[in-house]
Amino acid sequence: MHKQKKYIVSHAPFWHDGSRLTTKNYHIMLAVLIALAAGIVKYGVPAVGVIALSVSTAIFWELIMNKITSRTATIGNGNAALTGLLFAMMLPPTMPWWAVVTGTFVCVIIGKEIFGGLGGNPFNPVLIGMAILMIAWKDLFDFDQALINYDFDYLVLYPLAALKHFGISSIESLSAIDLLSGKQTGAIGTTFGFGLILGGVYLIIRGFVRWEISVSYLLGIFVTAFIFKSADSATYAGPVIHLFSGYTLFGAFFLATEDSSSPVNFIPMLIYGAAIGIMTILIRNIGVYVDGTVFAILLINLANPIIDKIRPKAMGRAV
Amino acid sequence: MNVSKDFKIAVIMAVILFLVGIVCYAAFPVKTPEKPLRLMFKCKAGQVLFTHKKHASDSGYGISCTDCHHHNEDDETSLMSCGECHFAEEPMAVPKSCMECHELDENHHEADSEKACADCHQMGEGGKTPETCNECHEPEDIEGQGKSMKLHARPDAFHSQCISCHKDNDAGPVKCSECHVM
Ligand code: HEC
Ligand code: HEC
Ligand code: HEC
Ligand code: HEC
Ligand code: HEC
Ligand code: HEC
Ligand code: HEC
Repeated sequence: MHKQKKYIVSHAPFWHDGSRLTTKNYHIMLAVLIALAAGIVKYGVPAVGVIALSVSTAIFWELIMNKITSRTATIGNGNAALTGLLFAMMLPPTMPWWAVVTGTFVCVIIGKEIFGGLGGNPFNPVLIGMAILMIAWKDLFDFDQALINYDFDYLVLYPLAALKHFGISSIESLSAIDLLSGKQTGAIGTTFGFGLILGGVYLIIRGFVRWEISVSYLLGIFVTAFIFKSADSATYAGPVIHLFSGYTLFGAFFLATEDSSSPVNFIPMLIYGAAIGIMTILIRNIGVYVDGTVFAILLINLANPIIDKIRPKAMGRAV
Repeated sequence: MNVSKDFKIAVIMAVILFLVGIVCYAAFPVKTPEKPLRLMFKCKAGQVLFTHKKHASDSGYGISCTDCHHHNEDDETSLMSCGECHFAEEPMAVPKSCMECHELDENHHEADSEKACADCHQMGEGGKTPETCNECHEPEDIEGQGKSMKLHARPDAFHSQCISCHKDNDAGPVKCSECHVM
């Protein structure tokens, strides 16, 4: 056999807007700050504990892994910290410390490092951590149980759980404005819709996040929820609940848009986003899980390489 | 900016946050309020969320404490956990041994066997430990019910109390699936 010259091609992300990875990661952390602050105000010191522990252990795990694989330390690029932060935002404030530490281990090591580090990961690392914890310790993610000792002056029922178990009548009292302004129970960083939207729009304007994915995702949610609602308005909730409760907004701006696990071409981005939206509602309405966001994104992450192949053919020659 | 500066920032951030995390977890656990806000009962039939505060507060359903906490209205034990009398597993059994209720004191020789109690004390029927509550209590003495003195197990007590009030008020869940969540 003759000697072949091989080109070494690295994985996504390829998108380059001139700024460094570090800058990008810190900008995303900046963008979630408002929603995060709202969560801390709402849940107090225990929420700070979860966030601090999550961010720090995510960094430690990555550092340890860097040392074990004797690579140059990558924690400086802020991605480990970002992973820890996003992960913490999806947890209830009463998450036990061991679950947080295990979770960041799964996120960083299993979600990212074993694939060769950032860029090689086929799934969003945060969601790998979430999914494994949600399957292993389902009860920890029962927000009604987790928040049992918190008192609020609004309906203290996790909206999606109430919807699933007791039907629409149990959450009638929730309005869109209430939901968006954080008058709902849920995870530390995912209940303050206005803050999440503001952060998302900021990232989109700065070019750190692709609007195509966020918008098509939200549209996917809206349309699918609307179809269900029109088919049977007594059983299914309308788009408002689905858009503004659970992990929807957080997922649309900060999870589905993760570089390495999402497409880069225009049409694929739209398909990718919409597919996650549709899948989320399917899981919520007919699946067993209360919130489908985590599994929907992971599932479509899996299809990402195929989706990303859909692109215009180069003109004039066979490919 | 160079890489090592980023690296230093990350390490410092991690160490500080780690300490903050430990302090938060160690010093500020979420407090359990004295009067429960909400209670989650876990059982084979799926968990039940009970909005304790909402049931008892005026802004909620305004039910008085003693409608549910029905014993010894004038002392603190009236707010005992239902489960202390209505055992979760099986109806309360009469203690087998005198010692479950009595501690021996200076009047008593330490190794006195139970049977021996009868040697000095006049005992009930046949000098045995009582077998039903009724051997000591008149059924009417407790609650004035005049019913069997066998105590409801906790799930039965809950079902009886929760559901009958909901029925009486024509409000609140009556069907299994409205309380129980699998
Ligand atoms: C609708 C019925 C209901 C009303 C009204 C009610 N409670 Fe309760 N309460 C319960 C139940 C049920 C429990 C759970 C007991 C258990 O876990 O066994 C409980 C538990 C408690 C406990 C904790 C007991 C323990 O040791 O676990 C306290 C304290 C308490 N209630 C105080 C009050 C006070 C004070 C009021 C009046 C403001 C009140 N409750 C009104 C039903 C009620
Ligand atoms: C101090 C012990 C004690 C505590 C605490 C207690 N109970 Fe009881 N309960 C009794 C006794 C004794 C009876 C009478 C025996 C019977 O009728 O079964 C009774 C009877 C009942 C009955 C049956 C009444 C009827 O009309 O048949 C219900 C229902 C009940 N309790 C519910 C509760 C609930 C709910 C709580 C907690 C809020 C509670 N109990 C706390 C001792 C207790
Ligand atoms: C269900 C719990 C219980 C059991 C079991 C029990 N007792 Fe008692 N006993 C009591 C209570 C309550 C009192 C009343 C104490 C008081 O009034 O201070 C009492 C009172 C007494 C007294 C009278 C004390 C006095 O000051 O008049 C004697 C004697 C006695 N018990 C002996 C026995 C013997 C012997 C047994 C075993 C056969 C026994 N008890 C089993 C609960 C029990
Ligand atoms: C040797 C005889 C003797 C035996 C055996 C005996 N007792 Fe007593 N008991 C006494 C005497 C004496 C008193 C004191 C009566 C008094 O102070 O009026 C007493 C008092 C009591 C009292 C009242 C306690 C108090 O401090 O007022 C209780 C309860 C009691 N006995 C339970 C028991 C039990 C339960 C047993 C079996 C384990 C038992 N006794 C066995 C002699 C005995
Ligand atoms: C050995 C006798 C004995 C037996 C058996 C017994 N008790 Fe009692 N119980 C007593 C005595 C004595 C008292 C104290 C009465 C008093 O202080 O007025 C008491 C008090 C109580 C009280 C408090 C009543 C009140 O108004 O203060 C309750 C409730 C009670 N018993 C329930 C039960 C139940 C339920 C059983 C059956 C599981 C039972 N008891 C079995 C002797 C007994
Ligand atoms: C004394 C009366 C009373 C008792 C006892 C009572 N409830 Fe209720 N419950 C109500 C009323 C009134 C409502 C209001 C329903 C409405 O307004 O729609 C209600 C509503 C509820 C609801 C639905 C609304 C909500 O707040 O979650 C649940 C669930 C519930 N009750 C559970 C329980 C359980 C579990 C128990 C027993 C541990 C219990 N209740 C005991 C009166 C009672
Ligand atoms: C008003 C609310 C309510 C309704 C309606 C209700 N339950 Fe329950 N159920 C409870 C509570 C509260 C418990 C207590 C759990 C405990 O003691 O920990 C319970 C416990 C149980 C248990 C567990 C018993 C055990 O030994 O662990 C079973 C089984 C059960 N319920 C079946 C049913 C069925 C079947 C129905 C419909 C006929 C029903 N329940 C309706 C509130 C309710």
